[in-house]
Amino acid sequence: MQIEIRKNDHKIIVDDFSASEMRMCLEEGATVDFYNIIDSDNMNTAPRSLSVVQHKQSTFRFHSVNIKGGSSSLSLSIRHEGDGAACVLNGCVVAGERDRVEHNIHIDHQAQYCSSSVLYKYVLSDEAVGVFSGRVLVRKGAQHTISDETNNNLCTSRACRMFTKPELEIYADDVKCSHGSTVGWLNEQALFYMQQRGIPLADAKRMLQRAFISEVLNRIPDKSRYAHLLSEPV
Amino acid sequence: MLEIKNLHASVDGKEILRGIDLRIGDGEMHALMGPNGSGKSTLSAVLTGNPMYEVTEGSITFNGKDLLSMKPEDRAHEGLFLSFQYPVEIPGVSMTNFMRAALNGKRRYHGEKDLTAAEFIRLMKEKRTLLQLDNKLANRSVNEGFSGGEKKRNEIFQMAMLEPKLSILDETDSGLDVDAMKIVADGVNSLKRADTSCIIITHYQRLLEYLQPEIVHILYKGRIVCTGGMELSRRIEAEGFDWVRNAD
Repeated sequence: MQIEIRKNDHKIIVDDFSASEMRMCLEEGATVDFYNIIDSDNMNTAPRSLSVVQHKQSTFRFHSVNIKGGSSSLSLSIRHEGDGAACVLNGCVVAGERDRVEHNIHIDHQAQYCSSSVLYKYVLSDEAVGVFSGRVLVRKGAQHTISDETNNNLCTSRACRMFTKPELEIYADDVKCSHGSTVGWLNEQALFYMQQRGIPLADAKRMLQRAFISEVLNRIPDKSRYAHLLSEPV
Repeated sequence: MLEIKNLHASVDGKEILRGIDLRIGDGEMHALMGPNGSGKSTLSAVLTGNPMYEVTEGSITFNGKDLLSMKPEDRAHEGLFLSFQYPVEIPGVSMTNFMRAALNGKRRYHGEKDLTAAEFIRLMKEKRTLLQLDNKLANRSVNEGFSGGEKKRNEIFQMAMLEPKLSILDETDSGLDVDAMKIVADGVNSLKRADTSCIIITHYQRLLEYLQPEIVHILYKGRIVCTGGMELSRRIEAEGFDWVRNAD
């Protein structure tokens, strides 16, 4: 599937999960909000890919929400060919049982004054497996690139596994870039504090998990796209 | 209200409490003093069921029930409250959601219906005024970015919301300026009833002058070594703990 976004157009695209391979080209000044919201109707566990080419001053925003369980695998490749292109990638995963959720991201900064911002959070339980690999490449000519990449993960069982690999490769000498990842447990002091106030442990865990992913959900402009997946109102 | 018998407890295999006996009646206010490391905070942690601490011997009865067999949340539902020495910051959980979950947790435990949104908001407003906390509190994350004084006032606000039977104030006065201490003390005094009791853990006389506890205990090396009235706390204020150490 090939999608062209014309000059200065703003398109909202809702992934219907039918295509295994998608290609997109954003012309100068174009903006795309791409919603990749997984629910029980569109479950597709086969590996899929999305390649995006961005021209001058274009903006690509990607919102991936997979919080109701179910495996998925997506490779997302973004190439900034024109100066001033920007991309924002938001990913939020809550996986349990024997789910396997994989996100492979590749951002190729080839032009000047471009930016990328990546925030992915996973909450894993049971025997779930999470994979995040994010490579940001800043080529020699891509001066004044601003890039941040963060992947924070919460493991709530002994048997779940998180594989995370943020990568940053820089060949330009005037850029501002950061990358990092964390894997941790729920804050036990916070859990006890909540229990001491009378919040049952299971509810306290649920509230902390929700608080953890809310940072990603708050970055997604149209909350109605995922609100039905949440057990409590936004 | 509370009866502790021969309580021994340890953390990471190290024994901290070495045979505590303590009885607190309805409506009584007790102060618990003692040098650093004597076991004051450990006692409050054991009472509230902190999983970091292991009870190795002894018993605790709370209003006729075996406290040690209860989960921390059920102890809270039964009316036990701890004002934390270091209140925990919980980013992303608003005070409103936190307080509503706590109150409704207690109500469900007692077979009562959840509060309606209107009832809840009215209650929040009423209790907030008592502690002079502003209305922005509701939307802020629990303790996140609160000043030291705000955190302690927020503890007493939660105490006012939950109306516990037995409150433990663990160094609630530390880090408070004199005005904030007055607000906290007035809050605690206004919540005092004939059937509620209180344990005040403190190093300083000032809070005790406001609250006027009937009984003062001195904890040393995991045991209560001395029990008396306010003359004990005044002696500590004047002389320190050396006479306690020397007597040991």
